[in-house]
Amino acid sequence: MGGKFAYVAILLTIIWIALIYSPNITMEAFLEELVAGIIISIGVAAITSKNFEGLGIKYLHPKRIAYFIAFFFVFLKEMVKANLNMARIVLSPKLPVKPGIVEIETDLKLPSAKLFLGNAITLTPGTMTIDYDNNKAYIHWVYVESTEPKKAGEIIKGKFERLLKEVFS
Amino acid sequence: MIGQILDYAGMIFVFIGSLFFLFGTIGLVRMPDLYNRMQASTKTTTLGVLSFLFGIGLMQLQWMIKLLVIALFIVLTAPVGASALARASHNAGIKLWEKSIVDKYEERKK
Repeated sequence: MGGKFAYVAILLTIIWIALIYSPNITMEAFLEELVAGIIISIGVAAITSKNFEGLGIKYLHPKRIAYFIAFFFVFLKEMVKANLNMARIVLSPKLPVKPGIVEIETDLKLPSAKLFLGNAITLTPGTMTIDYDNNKAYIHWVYVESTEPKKAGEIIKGKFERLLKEVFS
Repeated sequence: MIGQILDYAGMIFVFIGSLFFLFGTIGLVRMPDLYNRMQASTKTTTLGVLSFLFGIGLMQLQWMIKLLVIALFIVLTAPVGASALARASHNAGIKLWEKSIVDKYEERKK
């Protein structure tokens, strides 16, 4: 409990500083904001820290962070592709959709890893995570290319899962 | 000079963002069922907001950090909200479009 509480409080304080900081703020005002932020961060951390998954300090290893940054850039690229794809679908007169809900399997174990995978799937071309059932994920797909769990899985989550495995291994 | 270039670059990003909003809205009207609509609106509005925030950040550089923090929270929370809504709708019995080809989630529940 103690460690997690400290992490949450510090993280919230950092976010708070990022939100209040601006180049022309006076020192006095900044300190006032900072003190208020720290007090509120501690209060929020005390209430919510038990709900967070404690991953531990080993997840800050540089190699994991490097893989996470790689994941982030792949994700950004896929997101732009997803949007162009969606624009193409909604603007074409025939509306080329072939929707359905498919099932895929994932090897990721940690809930946080599954959350990142699920979010990445939701924001990438034509797919949206609906539910997890242990290692199975149910994905709504605008244009179903395969109902085979393996093949669909490779198309939907291939790249992301490989990178996330390195981050959360 | 540089300020002007940043201004124009920011305007381009804001314009691209609003284009994505427009596509999302068209998708919302044209898609056949709830799940497809949700897909159209979630994806396009998320990237639209990101592009918008980045554009405003370029115009007002001193806000950039705040805007990036806001963007981060949107990226983290928007898909979770969409998934939760889709799951709740499915559990509440909202049917897929009749031309949908497969529904593994329904099969699992049986």
